[in-house]
Amino acid sequence: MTVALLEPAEPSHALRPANDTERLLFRNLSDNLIRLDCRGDVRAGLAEAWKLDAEPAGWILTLRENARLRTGASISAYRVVSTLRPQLSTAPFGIDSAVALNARQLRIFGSGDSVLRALADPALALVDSLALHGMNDEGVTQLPGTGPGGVIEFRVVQSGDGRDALEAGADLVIARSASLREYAQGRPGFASFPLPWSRSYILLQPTGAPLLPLRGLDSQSLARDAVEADAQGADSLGWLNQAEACPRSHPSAGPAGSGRIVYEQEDAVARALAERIVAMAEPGKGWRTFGMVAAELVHSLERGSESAYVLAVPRQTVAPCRESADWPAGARIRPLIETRAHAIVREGAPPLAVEWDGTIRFPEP
Amino acid sequence: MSFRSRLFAAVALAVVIPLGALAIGVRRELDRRLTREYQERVTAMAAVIESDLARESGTVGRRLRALASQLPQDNRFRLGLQGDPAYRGYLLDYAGQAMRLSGLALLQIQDSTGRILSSGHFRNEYDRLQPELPRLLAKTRDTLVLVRARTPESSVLAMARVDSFWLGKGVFTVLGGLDAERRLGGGLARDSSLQVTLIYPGAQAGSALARQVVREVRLPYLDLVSGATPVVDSARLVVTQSLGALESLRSSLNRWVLAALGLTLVLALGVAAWLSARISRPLRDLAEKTSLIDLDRLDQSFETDRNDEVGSLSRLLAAMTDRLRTSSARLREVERRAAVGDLARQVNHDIKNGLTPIRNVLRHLTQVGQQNPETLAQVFAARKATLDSSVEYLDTLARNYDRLAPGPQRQACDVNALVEQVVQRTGHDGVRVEARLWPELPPVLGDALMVRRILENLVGNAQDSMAGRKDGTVTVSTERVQAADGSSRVRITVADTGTGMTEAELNRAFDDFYTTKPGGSGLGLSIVRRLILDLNGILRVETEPSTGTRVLVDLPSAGEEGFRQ
Repeated sequence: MTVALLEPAEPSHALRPANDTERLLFRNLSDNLIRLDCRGDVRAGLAEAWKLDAEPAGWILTLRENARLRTGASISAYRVVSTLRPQLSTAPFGIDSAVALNARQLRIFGSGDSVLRALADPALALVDSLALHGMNDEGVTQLPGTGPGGVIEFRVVQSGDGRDALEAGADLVIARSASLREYAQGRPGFASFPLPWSRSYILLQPTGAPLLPLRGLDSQSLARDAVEADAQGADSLGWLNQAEACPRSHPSAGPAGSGRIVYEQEDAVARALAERIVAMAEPGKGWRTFGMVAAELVHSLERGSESAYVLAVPRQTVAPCRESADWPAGARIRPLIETRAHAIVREGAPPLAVEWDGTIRFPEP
Repeated sequence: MSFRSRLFAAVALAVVIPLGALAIGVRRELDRRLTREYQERVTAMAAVIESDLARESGTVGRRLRALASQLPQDNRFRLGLQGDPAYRGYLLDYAGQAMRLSGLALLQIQDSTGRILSSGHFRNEYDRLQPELPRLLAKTRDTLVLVRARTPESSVLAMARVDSFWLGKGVFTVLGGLDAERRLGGGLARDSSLQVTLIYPGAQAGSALARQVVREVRLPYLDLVSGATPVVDSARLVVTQSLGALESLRSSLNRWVLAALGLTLVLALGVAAWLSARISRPLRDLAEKTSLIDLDRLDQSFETDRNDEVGSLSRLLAAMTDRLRTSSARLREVERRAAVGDLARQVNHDIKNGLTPIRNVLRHLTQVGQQNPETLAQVFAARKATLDSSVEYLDTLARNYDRLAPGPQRQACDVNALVEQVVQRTGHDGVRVEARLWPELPPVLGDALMVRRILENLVGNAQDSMAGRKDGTVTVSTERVQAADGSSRVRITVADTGTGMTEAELNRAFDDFYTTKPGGSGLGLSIVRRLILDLNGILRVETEPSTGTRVLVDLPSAGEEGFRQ
């Protein structure tokens, strides 16, 4: 089965994907000890069992018998611990440390249900580096199948257009583009299935920035008219409420009063939202949009040097503080819309399931 | 200023002034013609711009008309207007699609209330109200308007027109335009030296317009960016011609003129040097040769084979030198003869002076012998000294002439003694000769014979000046005087009460052969002057006609030491 990737993928982004292709590819080339389903419930991953140990406080996890990564590489508790330790020391997951008890068991120090859920975070995924760097010059990497679907081949579409991928024979395209969805719906032999709402867009204004005139800005209207995506209004802050309590290591430089509403320049939805906000502002006030590359945006966000930012964040996360680690302290946050991707599948392809986080699985017969 | 410098300056000016005048003339003509050409080009460019604007206006108008005609036929657009959610996105995206397909930079569709239904340049400004815009644009329906409209990032400047269409129960307005900054900025200038600058309120004006030829084309301007309410103003398309080419031409001309002037000066210097070599140097050579010519050196050669003015001058100088040689030979002969004559006359004169006392003594003795013979011996004894003195004088004179006027003997001479001898020797002939001698007069350093000759000549002349008078007196006095330099001198004064001399006579009195006496040689005073000069003395004459003459002779004193010698 061929899965089309619409953007280039950079292996060094494995633990922190920069685009949808990297999120899809690295999600499928990695495994977590624990998985969360679309409702946020804890499910077995590489670990088949876990129990809370009171003294000392922590969780004891037991790996599956003959545990293997999705790429087929075998894995032990020792390797899991050696892989996780660097991540645990740099990211705020509430996990103090991890230690292997034997080849199948390991102890995670840290109490509470959040610790267990944190193990499902992509940043704590276990990646097969051989498979990660196995993409050839044509942008093709293969994942050995474990079900009736056989081998899953990930192929980067050079033109970046999903329609070209479908015409070239791709069996599965996961995309957020409405035009691609319309194209697939208009073509016989393809079916489109919406995936769970997975991404939220927020408006972030650093402390002291001039207030944007957002009167009359209706999130449902935004979702319906302003963006070319499958979107809905986002009225709930969700995990963003928890992010407000996260410690900020970046002192705010104070907004420059630039009047710019900044977005990540490859994100068409963020751009459209920023444009709509500017359109709602009174002419002559100097409000305008400005697209930044991702790295520059992160740097600017840490300093809070622009008047406003339109950011894409995961709708759900097990680590609110990690997701908001780059934000300036005391920023005002307003949720705008939520979007979801669609899985476009060629008729006749093997039965498959695309989970909320992009993991492709072949159902057991 | 040397001849070469003058020559250089003349040649340089002769070439530089016409060259400079030519350069100034060429430059002025260049300026005039190029400026006129620039003005014509700018005027033509302005005409082309107006033509282009008219064409662009037609283009925009036709595209808007096509859209306005097509929109009522578009069912999806119509359904979108009616609020069908399925066509809401089509409606919002319509202007963007149409704008790109029609090559416009600005496209906006509004309903009759001014609500933006679809915007191509700013997709998400839908539903914003801009009720003034259709009203403002209605006034300029067939005219191209420069519109500055908002975009998400900044703004767009477009040459826009407006059109409208009926759909359902209302009138809809279509505002569309072409990118003005690209088309009016540099796109209209078909010549790289021409520049078209778009100036509108809020835009930065171009610089250095004053140095350029300027024409303007005006356009109505509508600003939708600066405030909530559109601003109506006017914009200008300023056509300028860069004067860079003219400046470059001027610079090039200046460089060439300067190079020509420099070359001219170098050539002038060369020509001056060459002409100098041809003219100045021969003249300088002639001057050097001429400066060496005197009566003793007439051997300079002025031979030349040149046929120019220098050659003629050389030949003239050669002829003059030849004549000088001839004249010099003649002069030497005359001098030789004159010298012989002088000598003869001086000998004659001196012998006469020596013989006169002898003649007087003999005449006296004769007279005594005839009248008182008994006293002859006594008188003879008394006058014998005079005879001896005269004979000795003649003897000395003969020896001196024998030595052919050797140099004077420098020895101490007792002037008072000499004066006494001369006074005693002088015949009376009715003229009284007196001596007034300075006691303890220091001797003079000189030849006693020369001093005596001086005294005899002066006393003789004094006597002669009183010819025919019986009451005349000649006074010979001596005194010691001090010269201006402090040295001691002996002054001999011979004064007479004779006829004196006029100023003209005095001026010629010491000339050779000048005499007022019948039978005089005219050499007496001339000889006196030479003798005094030989003795390093000073001669001064004070005379007045009808009163008399005083001749003062100052001779250097020998002092005590000289006297002892």
